Amino acid sequence: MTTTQRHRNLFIGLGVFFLLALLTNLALGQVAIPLKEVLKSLFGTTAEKSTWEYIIIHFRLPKALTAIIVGMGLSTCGLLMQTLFRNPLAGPYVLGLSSGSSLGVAFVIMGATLLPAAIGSLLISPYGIVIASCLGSFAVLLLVLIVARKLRDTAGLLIVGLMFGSFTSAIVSILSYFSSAEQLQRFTFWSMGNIGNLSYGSIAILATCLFIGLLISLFSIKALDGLLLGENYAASMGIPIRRSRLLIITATCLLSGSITAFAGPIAFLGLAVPHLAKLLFQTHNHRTLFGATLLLGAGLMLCCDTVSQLPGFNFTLPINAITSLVGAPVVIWLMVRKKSLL
Amino acid sequence: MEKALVTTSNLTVGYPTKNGDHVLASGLHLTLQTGKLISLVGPNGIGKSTLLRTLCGLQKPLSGEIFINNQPIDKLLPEERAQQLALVLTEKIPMSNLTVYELIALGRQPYTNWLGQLTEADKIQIARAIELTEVADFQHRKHFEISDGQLQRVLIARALAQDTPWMVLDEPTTHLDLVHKVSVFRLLKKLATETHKCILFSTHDIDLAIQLSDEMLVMTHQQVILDQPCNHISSGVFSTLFQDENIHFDPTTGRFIIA
Repeated sequence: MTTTQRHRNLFIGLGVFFLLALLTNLALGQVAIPLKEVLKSLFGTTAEKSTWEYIIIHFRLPKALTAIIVGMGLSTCGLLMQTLFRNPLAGPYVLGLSSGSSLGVAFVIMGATLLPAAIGSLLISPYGIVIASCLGSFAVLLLVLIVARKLRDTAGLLIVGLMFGSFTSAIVSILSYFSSAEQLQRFTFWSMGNIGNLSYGSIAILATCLFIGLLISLFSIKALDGLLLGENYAASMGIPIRRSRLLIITATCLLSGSITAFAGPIAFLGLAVPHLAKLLFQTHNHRTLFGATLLLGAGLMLCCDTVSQLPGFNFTLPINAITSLVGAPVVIWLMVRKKSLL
Repeated sequence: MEKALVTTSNLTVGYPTKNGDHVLASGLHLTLQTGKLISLVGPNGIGKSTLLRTLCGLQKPLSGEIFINNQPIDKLLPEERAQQLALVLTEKIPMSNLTVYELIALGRQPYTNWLGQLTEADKIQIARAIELTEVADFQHRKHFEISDGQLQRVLIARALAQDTPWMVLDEPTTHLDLVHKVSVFRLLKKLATETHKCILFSTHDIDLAIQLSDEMLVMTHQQVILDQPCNHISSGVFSTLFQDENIHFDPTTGRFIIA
């Protein structure tokens, strides 16, 4: 079997996986809905019970859409960062981008009262949170980039990411000390990660950010391929390094910032998915990886969400806990068998 | 017919420091011709790398200009320069899943579309590069699975696939044993004659360079001279290369002798 055939088969397999994950996600929840009824409500015909239709359209569909956006966005983010940093362990969560976003959001949610009322209410709108979150992740990414120039090894970068995490959580705890119970609750719920109750309006904002971010990534594919040989080689092959780096960083911040703003910091997905894609496809060609990461990311996020609220349980587990349960072992496994994987 | 490809006019090489410019070589008027294998030799720390980087346009000269095909090199767009000059560097390739074939194919980047897709013409160039460097046997292996000697040939193949009139290599023979050193030298020699490229490389293997280069660029503290190896021998420049009284150059054998 040639590589192209193998890749085509894998893509078909991933497509099927994604569709199955989507349907299971829509069908399962605190109430299990038969698959036939799910399809009926989706395609406009009336379902057997009107409550089922209501659940699908107003609750599960937006949640599934959010899961798809989050999965695609964060995974692409991880793919971009791993190549940009020439580092297998780079990812939006591990390198502290999510912490940066948290800090931005914490300032908005808990610090807005310290400002004049007009500015405060402007900040606390969905747009305000998105902008603060993007700025937060941008600030951290810039700092990480500066540090990455000084120290090139994996361990150093990870420790720096960890330090940014501690640093931001320290500031967040100072902020929470001065904030009201209501604000604190809002922030805590946000930080546990929640892809549930997003309105279609918020999803539209999120989808727009995703679309722009993916478009920029698509135009960076050639540069990313060149960067696999290091910056000097890439430059010698005609890649405009400064412009490409700026584009990649913009896409990363837009994706991780907007997603974190709405869904909270989602752990490990961005790190694990690109690796699984590389492992499956055995290539580093970013054209292939881009498509693979999108499908795999969306599918895995849907699966994680399905697991977080299985039927028969009366509660919903925080999505962050599930992605960590899946993602953290992947990181450990990577550290142990690094050589053969990269 | 060989023609002048790269020329420098009154080039001064060095780097700026807080206490003014640190000049490594000045007043260089060099002409590098197509179809020639040119080696750059000189002791450690003399500024070979700086000279090489400056010639490639990776670093700004302190003064003077470099022309490739009569165009100033710093005026070329990145993509235009990539179609004139291909590099083989000393730095390690970052870890990745790239196969040897994929690595060589990256050399086509200056010619591919915005997604980097390979056309039939690209594939022909890649196949030619693989054939010339004789790396076909392991083209489907991962680049980190092959030996240093094989990797060096692969990197040269990548530069060949870039299809440029000028190729510059920074110490392509370090870390290799004698057999592989000689094989890289012979490969470069063959490429210069068969593809009419101008190939410039720096090396510490002076005795091998004397035997195989068409011209040598010798860098000492006083001067930078470009000439044929035999003329360098008769001018006695090699004896002044190392300021160590225990090392002598023997003009009859073309080797350095340790006293």
